[in-house]
Amino acid sequence: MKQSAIIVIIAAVAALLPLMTGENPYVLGVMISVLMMAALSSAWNILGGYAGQYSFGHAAYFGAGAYTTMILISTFNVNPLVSMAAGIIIACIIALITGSIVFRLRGHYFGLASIAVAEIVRLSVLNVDFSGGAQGILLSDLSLWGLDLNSKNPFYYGMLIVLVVTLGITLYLRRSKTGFYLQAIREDQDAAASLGINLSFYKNKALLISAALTSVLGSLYALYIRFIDTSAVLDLRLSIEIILTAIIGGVGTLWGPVLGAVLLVPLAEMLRSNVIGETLVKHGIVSETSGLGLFLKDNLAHAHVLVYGIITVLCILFLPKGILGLFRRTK
Amino acid sequence: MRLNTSIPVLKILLMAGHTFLLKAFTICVLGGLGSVIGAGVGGVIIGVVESMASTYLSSDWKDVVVFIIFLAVLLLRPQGLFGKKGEQ
Repeated sequence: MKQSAIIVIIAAVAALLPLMTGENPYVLGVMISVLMMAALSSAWNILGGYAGQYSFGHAAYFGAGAYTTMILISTFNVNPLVSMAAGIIIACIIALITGSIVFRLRGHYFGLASIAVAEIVRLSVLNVDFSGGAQGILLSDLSLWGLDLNSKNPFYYGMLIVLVVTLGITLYLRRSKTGFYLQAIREDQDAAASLGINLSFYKNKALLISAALTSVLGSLYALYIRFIDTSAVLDLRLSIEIILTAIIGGVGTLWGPVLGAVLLVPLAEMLRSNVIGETLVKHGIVSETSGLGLFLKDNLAHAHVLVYGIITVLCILFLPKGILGLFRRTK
Repeated sequence: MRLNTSIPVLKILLMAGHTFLLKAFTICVLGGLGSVIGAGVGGVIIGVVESMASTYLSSDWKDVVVFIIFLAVLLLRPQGLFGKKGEQ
C-alpha cells in the first residue's frame, strides 16, 4: 500500500509541475522526454528486470506503435485513440511472433536474437512502400475532441498517465502470482520449470505487457513530434538507451528506471545545450577565452553519448545494482 | 586489367563499424562461438549469401536475409556449425 501511495503523490506533483514552470516550452519538452524515457524503461523493466530477459529489441515495439498510428492517421484519417489501439495490436502481434521464436533461447543468445528481430523490422519498414521508407512520415495539424494537439500539455499528461499505469502494473505484477513466477524464471529457469512454471507462457505474458505499453508510448511520441522515420523510432540506439536508463537507475526495482530517466535525460539535454559549459563560464570558474572554455564550448555539446558511456561503465564497475542499489541494503 | 587498382567499395565514416558489428556477431554464431574455423567458414557463407541476395533479390533486403539466417541458426543449431554443444 505504501508504494502505491508514493506513486499517487509523485503523479500528483508531476501533474502540477507544468503549472509551476509556466509556459516555458523548452522545460516542458525536456519533462516530456523524461516521462517518456521513464515509462519506456519501466515497461522494459517488466520483461528485463523482473523476468530477467534482456530484450535489446524494444525499439521494434516502439516503432510498431509509432508507425501504425502515423500510417492510419495520414492515410485513413482515423481517430488518434483508435490508431493507438491498432498500434497496440500490431505490437502485440510482433511480440507474439518474436516471443514464440526467441524465447527458446537463453541469456546472451536471447539478447542477440532480439537485436536480429528488431533489425529485421527496421529494414523491412525502411524498404516497403507504404511506410514512407527513408523519407519518414510527416503529419500536419491534428486534433482530438476539440483538444489542441499542437500544444505540448496534452502529451505531458498523456506520458504521465502511461507512466503511472506502467508503474501500477509493475507494482501489481510484483505482488501477483505472475510476478513471483517471473522472478523465479529470472533467478533460475530450470528450477522454475521443474516446479511446474510454464516458462514460455509467462515469458510471453511479460513480453506482451511490455510491448503493449511500449507501443502506446511510441504512438504518443509520433503524435507529439508528428514526424517519424526509422532512425528516430526503430533504431538500435533507442533500444540501448532504454536499457541503459534502467540499468543505471536499478534493474528489477520499481523506481530504478524512473530515477535513471530523471537523472540521465536532463543530463543529456544539459550537455547537448551546453548549459554546463555556460554555467562554468558564468561563475568565473573557467574563462570563456581560455583553452578549456573554448574546448568545452566546442565539444561538450556533442559529448552526451560519451558521458552516457562513461557513466554506464562506472555504474557497471561500482554500482552493479544501479543508483537505487546505493540506498538499499543487500538481502 | 591491373588487379591492384582500387575501386572504392566502402567509405570511412564514424559509424562505419556499426555495419560490421552485427554481421561479425552473425558470422561467429553461425560458425560457432569460440571456433576459429567456424568464423572463417561462417564469413564465407554470409558473404556469399549477402552477394547472392543483393543480385537475385534486392540490395535493400540483403541484410534482412542475413538476419533471418542468423535467427534460423540460433533456433536450429544454437551451437553453430563447428561449435561444441553446451550453453544455449
